[in-house]
Amino acid sequence: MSESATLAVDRQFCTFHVGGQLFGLDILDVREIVDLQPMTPVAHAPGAVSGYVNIRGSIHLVLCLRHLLGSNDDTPVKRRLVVLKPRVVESCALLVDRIGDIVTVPGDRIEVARGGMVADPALVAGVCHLDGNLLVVLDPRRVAATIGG
Amino acid sequence: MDDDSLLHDFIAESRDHLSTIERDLMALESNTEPDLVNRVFRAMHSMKGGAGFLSLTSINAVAHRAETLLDQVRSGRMTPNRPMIDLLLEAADVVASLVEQGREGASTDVTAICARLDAMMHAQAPAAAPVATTGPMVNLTGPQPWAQALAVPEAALHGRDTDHPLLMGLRFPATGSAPLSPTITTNLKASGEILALTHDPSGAWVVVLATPMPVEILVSLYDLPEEAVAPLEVSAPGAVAPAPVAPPRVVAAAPVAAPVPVAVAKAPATSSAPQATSPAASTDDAANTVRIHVTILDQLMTLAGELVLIRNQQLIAVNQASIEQRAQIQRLDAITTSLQEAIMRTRLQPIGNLFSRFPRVIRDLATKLGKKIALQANGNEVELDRSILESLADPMKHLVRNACDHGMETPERRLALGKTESGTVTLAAWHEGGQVNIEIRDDGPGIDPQRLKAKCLEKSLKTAAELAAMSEKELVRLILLPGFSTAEQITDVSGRGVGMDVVATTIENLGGTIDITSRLGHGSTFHLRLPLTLAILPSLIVECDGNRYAIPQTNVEELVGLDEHEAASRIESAGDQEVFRLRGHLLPLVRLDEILKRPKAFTARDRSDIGRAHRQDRRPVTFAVVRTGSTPFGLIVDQVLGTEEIVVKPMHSALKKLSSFAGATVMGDGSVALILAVEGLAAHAGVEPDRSEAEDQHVSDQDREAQTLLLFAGGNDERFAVALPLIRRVERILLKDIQRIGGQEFIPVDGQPTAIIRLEQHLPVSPTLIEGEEAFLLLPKHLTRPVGLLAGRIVDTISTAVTLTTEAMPNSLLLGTTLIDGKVTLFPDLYRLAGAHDPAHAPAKAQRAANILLAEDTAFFRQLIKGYLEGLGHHVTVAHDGEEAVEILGKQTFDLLVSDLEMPRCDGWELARRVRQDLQLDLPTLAVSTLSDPKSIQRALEAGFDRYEQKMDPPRFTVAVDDLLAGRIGRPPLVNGKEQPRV
Repeated sequence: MSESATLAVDRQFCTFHVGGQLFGLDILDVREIVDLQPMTPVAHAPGAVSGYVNIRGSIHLVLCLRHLLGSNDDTPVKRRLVVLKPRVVESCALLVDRIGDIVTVPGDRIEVARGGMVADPALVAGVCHLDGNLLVVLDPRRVAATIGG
Repeated sequence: MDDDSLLHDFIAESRDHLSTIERDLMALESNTEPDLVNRVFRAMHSMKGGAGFLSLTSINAVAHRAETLLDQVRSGRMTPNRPMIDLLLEAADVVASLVEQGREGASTDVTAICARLDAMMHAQAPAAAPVATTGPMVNLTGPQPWAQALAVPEAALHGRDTDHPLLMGLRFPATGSAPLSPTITTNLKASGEILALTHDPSGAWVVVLATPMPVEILVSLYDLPEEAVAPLEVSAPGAVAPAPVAPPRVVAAAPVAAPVPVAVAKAPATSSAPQATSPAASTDDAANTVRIHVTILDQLMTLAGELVLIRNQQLIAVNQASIEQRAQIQRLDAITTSLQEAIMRTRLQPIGNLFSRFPRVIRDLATKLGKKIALQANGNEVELDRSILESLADPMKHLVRNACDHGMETPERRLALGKTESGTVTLAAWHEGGQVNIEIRDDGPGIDPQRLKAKCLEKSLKTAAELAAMSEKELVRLILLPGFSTAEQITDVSGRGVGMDVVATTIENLGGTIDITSRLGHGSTFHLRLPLTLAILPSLIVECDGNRYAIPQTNVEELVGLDEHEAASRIESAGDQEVFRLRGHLLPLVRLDEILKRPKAFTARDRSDIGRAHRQDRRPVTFAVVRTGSTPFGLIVDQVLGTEEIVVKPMHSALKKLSSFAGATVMGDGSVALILAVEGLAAHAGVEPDRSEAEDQHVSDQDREAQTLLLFAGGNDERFAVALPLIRRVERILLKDIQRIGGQEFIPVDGQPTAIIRLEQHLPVSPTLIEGEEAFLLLPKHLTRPVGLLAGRIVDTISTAVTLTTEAMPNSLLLGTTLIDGKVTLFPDLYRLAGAHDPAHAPAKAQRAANILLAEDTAFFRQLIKGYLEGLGHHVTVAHDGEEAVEILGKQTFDLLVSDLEMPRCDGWELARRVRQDLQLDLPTLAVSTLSDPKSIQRALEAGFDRYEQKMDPPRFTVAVDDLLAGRIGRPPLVNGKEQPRV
């Protein structure tokens, strides 16, 4: 806490693709990335809920980011689950199309998202221009909040 | 150790002390056994010490005074009495609340309670010792070695009753640390006055008794050897022993009341287990226990769960493994199982922890209500999952309060009824069938079903007809209805009309059930059955749409499998609800796949769609009969896979609002299965308790598509059907009773000659075939003369939607034909048959053929009513709902509108309103409905209908039509489309 707020601290993002767009989550919010496993559908749940999955003995709720971000791209891809840390969101994993690299970005390069840049600015914590690519940083709490709870 | 953790330890320890102090204090009232007094004293003392160390001055001040008071009791200088115990309890309450406040409570003002404790101390001190143990002592001696120097208080010696001239020493053999048996003390008090009770060095009890009885009698009375009874004398007159401040051996002089158990009435809950543990055992316990935070236990539980999964995967892989590996896997299996069980046990707590709260509750209630109530608790040692125990606290408290309030008469009333003055509330717990059973029983007045009925009617919770059909047991369950309360007067103890339903819901949410039995005048019993633990649930695993689901075993009553034929023939519909007749009761059926498909709770349309969609299924059906509360229903699944003990995980907090699921679990193969919440499913599917109980003999309240039909066979197995509501009764007759008069057959029914109609007399059908000596006579309702229709065999009663066609077999005496179970079924028109048979029954043809518009959505009734009207010689135009009727009315003129009330799009009420207000038509209108409640009738008349008739009463219907067409309507004329107020 002694560091000055003006000093740009490097931040690391775990990036992934959803519907052709590059997204990222702060690496501190992510517990692990796991392969897609058979999911148990939960009837009557909101559309973004893909189902329940057992990740090493504990049950996680899987949210489909394609659905949440309004992507109608349904090209088959090797989908993965980004498991969030329990302190961020209670046992929850995000279903993504493809996992990207870990990128390190100076904190001051994260900009506030402007309307029209992404499907749902409410879910976005900020954006960052990488080499010719726009990284949209998601706020995992707000993503989870879209389905209530 | 820092100050904070010291404070935490102090709070935790104090809670422990406080949890026992309350019970001990109450026991103290009737029992001054030294162990008990010491325990209370020590508890207060250690709280005082801890509070002093942590500078919690207010706790310290209160505890100090309470301790001082207790010290007086301990030393025998004071005898605990009710006001003192009350004050000490109050002091304990103050300390408890201060402890919970921790540091914040340090400076709370406690002068009031302190002053009262001081006052008690001083008020009691002089008058305290009724048998002054503080006064000078006198030594007594006797011939036996043990009776050489027995000290008794001088005051007691001289103050003894003149009837008790003899002084006797009795020596009872050592009983270890146990007190003298209560039987002995009771007998001793009956045979004289106990002047002193001491424990001699060998551990034996020595009693100095002032009595009229000589040695021989005492010997035989107490079954003692002769040398154990000694006549005593004052050893040396005037040789007075020095008065010890607290004579170490004199335990208690006067109130040697019956110690501990049995004395239920005076010492509530003294049979509780924790108290039964000897002091030695409890210190032992303390040394061997460690405080562990619940989160650690939960974590262990989760880890054990994971281990179980890995074990399960290993077991699957065991086939490929080598022999050594196999042995290891087996060991892993065994250890994992034991580990899981051991961890599970850490979550269990004795129910005594909960029961021990009630002596105080009862004591306070009894005082408040002016009643005498004792509490008996059995089975304190029964263990339950702590989460269940916690959730159980409020419902139990409610039940106990109820037992004291409604469930107990005043002492005067009890005596007048010939009962004991003091009522008893009994709490009992025991294991049975893998469940924990808890009983709350009172010996009060019981529950009066008649009063329940009256209350229900008054509050319009049930109709008189519903109540009349209920068994005593069902009646008693009425108290579980929301908004029900029978307390004549609302007290602050109970009777707010909220509660019993909440109790029932809580118990059900815990996966338990509640049963009520009551004997009027003898008391009532509430019997709860609960699972041992919520963490592990024996469940039925079923499959639906390729996914597995778990149904808690406690909800499952039985499994039923139907082959494709049975499924097709025995699944019927009652109204829009699919039902199955299981051993004489209609069981609503709910299809799990349909529930899973539809996120919204079922509407009536959904239900009838489902019924229709599956009517043609030619597939076997499997369903589990499940129950929540009192409503059983059949849950249709694709497949039953078996039973399994599952580890319950709650639903994700984002999905908590999904009422159909109670949680999730990880199955042996690592996949996730959802646990079904039976109650939620019932609510989703709209299964109503009444519908399952409702007899299918009457049409349900609403005009539903389905009709209840009586199917019967004529000759050559020809099938006929009549709407059951049109039949008054089906009479079994003997052929030999039929008499012929002219060409007519008669049979006496209810002492009246009843004309027999044979179908073949009027319809082109084969003669009615009668096997054996018996036949059946269908007696229609609403006929002026007794007539019956002869049926050879009753096939069934079914509830189904029918659409009649008249093309297949046009005949004026037939309403039409339809296919039922693939058979052509004829619907004879009972009234026209009766008319054809005896012209007296035939409705007179109308003078003038009128144009009538009939609005009716149900095909069956449409045909039925149209048939009547055409039979009367009228022209009928039909509309399928109100909307269509309005359209037709806009184009054509009619002499009469006959309309159903319950219709889609635009219902009858709306139609009448539009006819009067929008179309400004003055044509006569007749509402026909199966609704018969005054409210619907009133609404219909208010909406603008002129008359209201029941659908199933053709004679009245005919009269109404005639009246309306003849202008006998008694309706004020319309002025500017508005109804004139009647003067």
